[in-house]
Amino acid sequence: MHSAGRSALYLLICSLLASACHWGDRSDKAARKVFDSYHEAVRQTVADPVRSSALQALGADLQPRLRTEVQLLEAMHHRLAELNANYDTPRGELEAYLAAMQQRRRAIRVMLLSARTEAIGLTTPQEWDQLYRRADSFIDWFGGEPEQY
Amino acid sequence: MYLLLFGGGLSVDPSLFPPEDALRKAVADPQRQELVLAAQRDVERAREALRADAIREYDALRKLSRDRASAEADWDAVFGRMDRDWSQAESATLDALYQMRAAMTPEEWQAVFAPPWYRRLLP
Repeated sequence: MHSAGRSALYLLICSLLASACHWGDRSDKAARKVFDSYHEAVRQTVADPVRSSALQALGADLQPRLRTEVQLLEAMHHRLAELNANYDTPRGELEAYLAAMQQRRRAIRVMLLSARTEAIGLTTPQEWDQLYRRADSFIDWFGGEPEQY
Repeated sequence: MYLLLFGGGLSVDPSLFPPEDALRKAVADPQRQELVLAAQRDVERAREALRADAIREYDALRKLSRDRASAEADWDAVFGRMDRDWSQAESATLDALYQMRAAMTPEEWQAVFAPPWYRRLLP
């Protein structure tokens, strides 16, 4: 991962998501680094102090919520493995649990899309483009190849 | 990561994918082993199908994310396809897993799926 000069809301989001999957001390540091970088990018790109502050607050609000959501999902992965390891677990119980996991992922989607919509409302088209160009693309930032995930 | 969080990832939960060598080791009876390995191949096929579907949606998600004017309906369309693909893969995986389970004893199942092997795959 290379983060220099690639900060934007999406980078922040994705760094949080990436670190959330393995949310140890090291990943927390990485998330903080990108979080700081995001703040810097917003400060440089959005001159209006009110909108700039709102964008930074958006990121600050998102970080703990995402962390919680992903930790919940991580715990569900462990529980699913335990359920499957039990020979007597009925299929319906596994199906219900997988559905619950998917519901959790949908909740994360809603959260991210909501943040995106809010960020769009806080930026001009030019600022959005600038932030996005700085980010290249948050997918590229993670290595660019979907096969990696 | 994008696909993992937005779409559920490229694979059904890894704890549901038994390693072939563990199956061979756990099920010594050749007839039942063949049934188990056939089911394991079905699991792998479901996994590969989901991966192909997810990669196909990758570009769509990428374009939407860049487009400031992308509408909610555009996102819903992609997510709807991904949810459908995901559900199909999970269903196929469970079909195969329960076929496999029927051909194994509880002890064999426990030997394959109990910790610690799957823990290596988890975060």
